[in-house]
Amino acid sequence: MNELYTTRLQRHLRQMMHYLRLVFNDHFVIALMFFVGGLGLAYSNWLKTVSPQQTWIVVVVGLILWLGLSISRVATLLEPADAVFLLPREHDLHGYLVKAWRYSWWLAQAVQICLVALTMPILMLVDRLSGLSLLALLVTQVALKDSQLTLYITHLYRLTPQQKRWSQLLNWGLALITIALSLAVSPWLGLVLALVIAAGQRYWHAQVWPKTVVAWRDDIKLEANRMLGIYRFFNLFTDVPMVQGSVKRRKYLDWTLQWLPKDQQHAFGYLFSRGMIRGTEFSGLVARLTIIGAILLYFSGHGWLAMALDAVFLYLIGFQLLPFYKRYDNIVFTHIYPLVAKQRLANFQRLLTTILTTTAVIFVIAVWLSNATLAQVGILVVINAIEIYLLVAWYAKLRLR
Amino acid sequence: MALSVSHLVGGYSQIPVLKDISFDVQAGELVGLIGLNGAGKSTTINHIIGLLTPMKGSIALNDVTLANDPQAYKQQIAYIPETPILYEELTLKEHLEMTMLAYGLDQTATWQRANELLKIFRLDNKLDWFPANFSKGMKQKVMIVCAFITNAKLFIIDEPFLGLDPLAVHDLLNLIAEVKSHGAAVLMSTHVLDTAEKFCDRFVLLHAGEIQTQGTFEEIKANYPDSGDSLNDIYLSLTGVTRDE
Repeated sequence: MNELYTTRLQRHLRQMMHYLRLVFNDHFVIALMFFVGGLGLAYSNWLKTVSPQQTWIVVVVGLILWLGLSISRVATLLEPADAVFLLPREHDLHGYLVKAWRYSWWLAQAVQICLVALTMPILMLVDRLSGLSLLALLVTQVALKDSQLTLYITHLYRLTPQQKRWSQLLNWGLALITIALSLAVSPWLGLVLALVIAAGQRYWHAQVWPKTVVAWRDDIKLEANRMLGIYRFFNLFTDVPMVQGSVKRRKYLDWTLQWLPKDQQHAFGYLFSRGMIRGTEFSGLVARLTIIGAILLYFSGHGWLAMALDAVFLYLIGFQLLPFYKRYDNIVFTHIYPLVAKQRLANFQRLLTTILTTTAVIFVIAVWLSNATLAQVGILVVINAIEIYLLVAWYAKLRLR
Repeated sequence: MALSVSHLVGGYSQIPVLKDISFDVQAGELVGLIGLNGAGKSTTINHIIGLLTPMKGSIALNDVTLANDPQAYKQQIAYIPETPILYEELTLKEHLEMTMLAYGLDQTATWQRANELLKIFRLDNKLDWFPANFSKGMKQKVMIVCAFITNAKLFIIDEPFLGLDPLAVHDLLNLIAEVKSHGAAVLMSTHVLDTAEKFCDRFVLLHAGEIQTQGTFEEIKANYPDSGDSLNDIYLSLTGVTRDE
C-alpha cells in the first residue's frame, strides 16, 4: 500500500511529462514567450497608471487571492478498480492519501506563491505593505491552501451532506475573512487566523477519519473528473484519447452552411463544415481563443504589441485546427468513398480560410473599436491577410500532406 | 466478371493472415463468405475495400484495380460494415446527402430512392436525428440505406443478420435480390449459415486464412458426401470441429 502511491505517481508523472512535451513544442514556446512578454509589459504599463488612492484595487486583489485558493486539488490517483481491490485494506488507505496530500501540497503551494508574488507590486503600491508583512501575507495564503487540501482529504471520507456543505462553507468563509483582515487591518492578524484555521482543519481531520468509511465511488468519480480537467487542458494543444468532445445540433448555425456548393468536389467540405460547427471540441477552441484575443487586442494599444498579439492568436487558432483534418480518419467511409485526397486537403484549406478570416475580421473590429486610426487598422488587415495565406496555403499543406 | 481476387496474400502486419486466396464474384450473384472468427473474412473484405494493400496477388473490379484508378475502383463499391460506423456530427438526412455527394449521385433521383428505403426500414420520420444515438439495429439500417442508394457494382456486406429484427432481415434480402437482378455483385460474410444456405448462390469457405472449398451448395455437398445435409454440418466437419449430439 505504501509503494502503491509512489508507483502510481511515477506513472502519472511520466504521462504528464509526455503530454507536457507535446504541449510545449517549439512553436508554442515561441508563441508563449511573446504572449507572456506582452502580458508582462501590459501589466507593468498598467502599474504605472495606478495611484495609491485607488483602494478598490485592493478589494480586487483580495478576491483574486481568495478565488486563487481553488486552483489545484489533491491528486489521489484513485482508479475505478480500487473500489474492488483496495476495499479490504480501507484502513491503510489513509497512509496512501497522506502521501497524495504531500505530493499535491508542493504543487499547489507553488501556484499560491506565484499568485502572491504577482500581486505583490500592486500591494506595495496601493496598500503600502512592505517586507515582513508581505512575507506574512505569503504564509497566510499558504496556510489557507494547506487547510483546504486537508479538507479535501477529509471529504474523501463518507460525511453527511450537511457536514460536507457546512465544512466547505466554513472553510471558504473563514478564508475570505482572513484575507480581508490581512489586507484591511493587519497581515499579522491574518497570519494568526490562517494558522489557527490550518491547525483546526487538521484536528478535525484526525477526529473524523479513523471513525468514518471511505466514500469510494465518490472519490473515484472526483479523481476521474480532476483528470478529465487536466486532459481537457492538454487537449487544447494536442490529441488526448481520453477526451471525447460532445456533439450539439446548433440548428441556429445552419445558415453558415449554405454557401458551400453541394457536389462531389466539396463532399469533404460538407462533412468538415458540419463537424466543425457541431463538435464542441474544435469550435469551442476557436470561440475561446477568438474572444480572449479580441479582448486582449482591445486593451493592448495600437502599437507593435497589438500586432504581435494579433499574429500570435491567429497562428494559435490555425495551428490548433490542423488536427481536425484527421478527425474522421478512424471512420472507414472516409477512406472508401470515391474521393481523392487532394480534394480533401483543398476542402480543409477552404474551411481553415473561412474560420481564420472570420477571426481576423473580429480582431480587426476589436482594434478599430479601440479608436485606432484607419492606417493602423489597415496595417492589421494586411498582416492578417498575409498570415492567413501563409498558414493555409503553405503551412497547412506542409503539415498535412 | 465483377470481382476477381487472385492469389491474394495479405494481412495487417508482416505475418500474412491470408495465404493465397483466389475467388470471384460474378455480376448478378450473391456469394457467401463463410468462416470461423479469425478465419480471415474481415481481412479479405478490408483488402477488397482498399483499407489494406495486398502483399502478393491482385484484386480487380471489372478490370479496374485500386492501384490503377482508385477513384473508379472505389466508385463501384458500397460497403456495409459489421459494426455500424457513423459520423457523429451528421444527421440521418446528412448521412444520405454525404453519400450522394461522395458518390456524385444525382440528388433528385437518389432522394426518391432514399425515401422509399427509409420508409421500408421505418426511418422516414427520423431524418433530422443524429443516428449516432440510435440503437444498434437502427444504425445498421442507416448503413443499409446509405449503401443501397448508390449504384455500386459490388456490394460488400459484413455480417448483416445479427442485430437486425426479422422484418429488416427480410427486407434486406429483398434489396439484395433487387440489386442482383440489376446486375450487381454481392459479397456477404456471415455466421448465420442456414440463412446463407437459402439465399447465397455460391459459397467461399475460409479456414485459417485459406480457402477450404468453394462453389454452389450442391457442388460442396457433392464434394463432401459424408459430411451431412446442411451447410452447418458440412462446415463444422470441414473445420475439424466435432459436435456432441
